[in-house]
Amino acid sequence: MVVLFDACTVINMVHIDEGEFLLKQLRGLEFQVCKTVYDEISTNIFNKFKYTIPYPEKEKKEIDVKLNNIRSHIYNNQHYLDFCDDVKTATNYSKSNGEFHSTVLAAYINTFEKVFVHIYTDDRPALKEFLPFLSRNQIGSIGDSVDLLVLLYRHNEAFNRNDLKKYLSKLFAEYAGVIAELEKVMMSYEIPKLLVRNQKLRTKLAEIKKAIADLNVTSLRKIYLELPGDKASYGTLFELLKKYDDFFKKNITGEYLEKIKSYVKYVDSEPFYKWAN
Amino acid sequence: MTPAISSEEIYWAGFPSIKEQFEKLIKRSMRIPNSSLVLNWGEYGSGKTHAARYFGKDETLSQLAEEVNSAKPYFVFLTLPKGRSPINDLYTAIVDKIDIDYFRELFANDLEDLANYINTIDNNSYIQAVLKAIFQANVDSNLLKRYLYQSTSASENKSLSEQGIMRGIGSETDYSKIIAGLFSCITFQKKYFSTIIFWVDEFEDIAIMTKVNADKTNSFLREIIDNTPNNLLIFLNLTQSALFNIEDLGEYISEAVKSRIKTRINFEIPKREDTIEYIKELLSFYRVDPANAGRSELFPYEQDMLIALLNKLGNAALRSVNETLGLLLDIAEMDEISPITIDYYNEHEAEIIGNWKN
Repeated sequence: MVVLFDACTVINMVHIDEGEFLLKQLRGLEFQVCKTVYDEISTNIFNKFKYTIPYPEKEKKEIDVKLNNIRSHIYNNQHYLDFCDDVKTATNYSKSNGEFHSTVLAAYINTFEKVFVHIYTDDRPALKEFLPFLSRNQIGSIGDSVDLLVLLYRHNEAFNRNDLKKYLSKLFAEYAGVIAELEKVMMSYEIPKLLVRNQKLRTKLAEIKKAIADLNVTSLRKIYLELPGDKASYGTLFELLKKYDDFFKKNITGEYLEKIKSYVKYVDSEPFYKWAN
Repeated sequence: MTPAISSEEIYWAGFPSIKEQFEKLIKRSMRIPNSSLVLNWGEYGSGKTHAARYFGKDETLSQLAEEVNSAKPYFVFLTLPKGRSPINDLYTAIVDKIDIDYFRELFANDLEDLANYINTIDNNSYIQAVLKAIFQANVDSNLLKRYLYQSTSASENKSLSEQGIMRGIGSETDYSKIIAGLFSCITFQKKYFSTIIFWVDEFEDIAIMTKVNADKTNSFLREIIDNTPNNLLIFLNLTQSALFNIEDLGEYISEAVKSRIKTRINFEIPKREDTIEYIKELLSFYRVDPANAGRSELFPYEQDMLIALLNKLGNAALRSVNETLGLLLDIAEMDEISPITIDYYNEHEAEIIGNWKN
């Protein structure tokens, strides 16, 4: 089995890991990451600490050590990049990011090594974008961190049901904590007196509150990306939301949050199959 | 618009039945020994945090105590910690509020009785020793406070061994036992404090904790309740949020804690007439010329205008009503309009409510 990881999945695994428990299990999968993915990991893995006071130096050091372990899994043969144009045409995808290069690498490995390739990403649009190409061409499959945790649980004797529940709930907390904080910030936001006659700002604030209440992360991200376009109206709002930039960039959806929550419940109600030795 | 913080700005306006429910529970807790757990449930901006601030006011508590002829309650208000170690954070936040010198002075003449009482609190000589040290003046209070914060050195800890404190605080069970023991001591014989009111805000954030931390929070709460069988009234504020609904309660609050919930106070979306009464009362607290005869109690708002505005707002939480009226007041002030009539409101409705109503 060939496994490729996208940046967000590796970042999630590193953030929710306790000690090196998950990292050890991941090593067993003999996974690969593209150079672009590794660069994205290095750039973004510390974003969550950006506003943490005091800066968690100890955690940063631990993550640095884990990153060294990931570095040795970079796929060094750059020939796969020759497939870029073909995949771009086949998928109609225009960006040259980590998820695109992972798909290109999957196509390359599948073509020459004749194996099915599994990609794991938590970027929901990317998952939807590349699934048809990977599946229709029998190149491989694409899953997310939840699927990956289930796989690790099933393949490792040391990974028990409590661990699965724990790590799924930690994954949920990674996203839910930000949404809960965002909800509180927006609910307590007071429009500055100078802007009380600014209807656009009030409308936008109401849209944000509604998107949060509906757990519509896609709409929330869309609103956030629109804010810098009208600094006069939305400047103060944007300043508040900027702190959550990393969360918006993660490209998750409400449906994904529901999936994590339901999988936490499945651990007890409809346990995942694990062969009992 | 968030709840007022400054004590002199915290008033209770309207909603007499909710106020009465709290008063009854607090008075009962002051009079009888039983401990109980109460859930306060409502939407964002429905008044739960405000209720905590109002009932935490020294003036409010003294008044209630006077009515039942009891010592007043000892009030502890905390927001549920969201960090990686919520129990440690909870414990630290409670220790932050403990004024050792104040308690020592208060209990100076009761030390013998209190020490005998401590001997009955927990069959654990270590916890008993820590509790005794809190109240006895022969241990430096700063050293003891640092010990409670777990920031003493090994040699400092050694110096505490004379008091029977033979080890450092080592586990979450220690945290809950020390806090529970302290709560019991503070309310000893209901002499200086009749009960402890332990009010936790934003308890809905238990839904975003990892499972391990949520389990620990439940255990901590259960242990506090179990180890403080008397004179403890816990309020948990729970807000309906994007990630938490009352139907999900069972997912996050353990059976052991749920079974200890005695009452639920619902902060419902207010009816129109209740909101009008609330506005009347609230305005009365801010009148600079209350004796001005002939002026409406709703001044500067006119009643038909308020009805039209509330109809337009529909099922809005109290905070939204406050926000909208505040905005209307700001705009009217800019336009130098007073009183605020229905015609003025109609003219500016889009600006005030528009399509941002929530």
